Amino acid sequence: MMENINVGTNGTPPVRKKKKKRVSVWTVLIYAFIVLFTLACLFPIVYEVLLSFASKEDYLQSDFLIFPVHFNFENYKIILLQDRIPIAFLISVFLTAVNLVYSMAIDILAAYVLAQRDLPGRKIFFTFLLIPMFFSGGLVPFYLTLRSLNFTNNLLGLILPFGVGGFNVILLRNFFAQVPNDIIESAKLEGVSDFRVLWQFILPLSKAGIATISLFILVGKWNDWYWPMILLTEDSLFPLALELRNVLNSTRADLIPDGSVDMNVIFAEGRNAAMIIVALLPIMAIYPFLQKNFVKGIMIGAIKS
Amino acid sequence: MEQLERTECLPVSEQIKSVKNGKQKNDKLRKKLKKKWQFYVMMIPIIAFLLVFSYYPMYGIVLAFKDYMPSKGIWGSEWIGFDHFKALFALPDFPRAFRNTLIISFLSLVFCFPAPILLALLLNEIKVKWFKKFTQTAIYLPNFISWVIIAGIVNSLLSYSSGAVNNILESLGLSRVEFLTEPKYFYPILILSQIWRDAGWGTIIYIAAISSIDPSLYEAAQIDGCKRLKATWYITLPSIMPIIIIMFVQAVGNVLNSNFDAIFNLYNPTTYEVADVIDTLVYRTGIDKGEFERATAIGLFKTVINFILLMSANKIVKKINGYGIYEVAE
Repeated sequence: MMENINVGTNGTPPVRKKKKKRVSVWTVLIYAFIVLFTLACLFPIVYEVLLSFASKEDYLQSDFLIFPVHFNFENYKIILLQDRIPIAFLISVFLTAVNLVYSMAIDILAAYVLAQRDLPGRKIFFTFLLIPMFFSGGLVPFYLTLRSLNFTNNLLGLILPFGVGGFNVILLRNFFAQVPNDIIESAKLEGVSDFRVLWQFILPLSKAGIATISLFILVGKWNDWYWPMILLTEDSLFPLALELRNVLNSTRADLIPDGSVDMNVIFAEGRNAAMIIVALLPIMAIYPFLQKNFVKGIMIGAIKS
Repeated sequence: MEQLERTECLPVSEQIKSVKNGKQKNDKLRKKLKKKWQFYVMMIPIIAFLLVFSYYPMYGIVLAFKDYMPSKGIWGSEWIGFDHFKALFALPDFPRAFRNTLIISFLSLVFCFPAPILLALLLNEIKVKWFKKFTQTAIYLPNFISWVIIAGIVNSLLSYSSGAVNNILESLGLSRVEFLTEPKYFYPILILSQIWRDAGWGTIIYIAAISSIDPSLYEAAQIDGCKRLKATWYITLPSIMPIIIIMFVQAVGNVLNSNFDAIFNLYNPTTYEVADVIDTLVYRTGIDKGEFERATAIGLFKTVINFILLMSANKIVKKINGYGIYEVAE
């Protein structure tokens, strides 16, 4: 097949053949490196999955990768039968979902305003958005503000102050600016209101952008343990990320190395792995669906800004 | 409806009036505002949000200059000038945190910054489509894993008594290493986990830049007998240089913003000596110990330097780009 083509094109075949040979060494090296890096990215996750299904015996007998010879769900049972974990899971779902809707609504409206090139006062509005990106009161004044609003031990307090910001707005604006102007103009000529233009034309045409920013907010909220740790003192409200952190940290006993193998630590390793997988699963589940969008989304956003 | 329009627009038009002058212009402006009142309504939520959660807390900065008494409130407490700042430099914790912040940022610039560029250049050489797609899916994934989990994985891989790495060392006849408690291993662990998490994700922007290079450049090079490696060096790299510079300047502007999440989850009291940075110190001082004024002072110190750095970075980017990072390109 290859030869046929080579014969067919005049003059080029010798050059092409030569190049193919020279390139191949590099190509092999490059492929090898990429394969290694990809494996390195996946290895820790695979490691934890295997660990979570392994038994104590498997764990003790293996050096590197743990092969769950005695495949079992015991580690998951320990996690899921703890009365706190399913509730923490639900709290996390609630916080993530409500925060997503809340912050996207505010961000989208602001981005739409910013996309209006000839709106009087736009510059002032933009500066108003920008200042908090450069300058902030810092952790303690922010915390004291939330405390004075009674946002401690209050799920609302974990939603209202978060997820809105200049960065998201600017990125979204870049997507909105991509929507062809004549679509908007013709809609306006037909008397469609500005708000309906946003809802009916701009949002459907900026799906990649919306998906990208949504993913950021979603993952950020799902993984957030920091603000729950600061704002919540009642464990009955802890979301999954904080519960995860507490579970993982409670077994850091082996940080003080006395050399002796503690049976409890071994046991805890599998339990930790199961806990990690439980926390990771929702992200893994939405990841393939959003991946296509966010790559496109970041590319447009990046080139534009 | 007409009524509503007018009341919504008036205050804003009043504001604009002072900016632009000329009566005829004003009439035109008023017409425009009347037509666009919906946009001003749409601004309200974010303005309210920023006023409450960003602008109002800025006032709390005065804490850094006060002797805070909860009973008197922030404003009622006594002014004490720069005492908190003077105390900061006398304590060993603060200079140490400042030093560690700079060291970690420097290491990140040297090792973490080039990683995605290299990776993107290599990925660009991959021509097998399904393989490229699979690779990209895999290397973006770590970016979505929280530092709590990464720290958990690091702990289970490196733990002294039962970690996989130590198991291997032992089976090779070497002795076990206290990776998690020895300060000298902290930086390598931190940098490697940062690369693991962010290098793949970081390629997106460079791949976008590479894909916008004019393919005729490569064709011309090929006709001239240019090898692929050379083409990468002489065409791809120079073409994406502007983006690299912008990203670099931005990274330098963020030198004092160390990766709080990573450090906070990976460090422990035995590694504070090398791992404690400004952000973690602010947290421990302010939230753990409740020394609000001191934590605010440390935070303010950082904010001011950061502000200067970011502004300078933005200026440099503006020179390269024509417009700054924080500016809307028209």
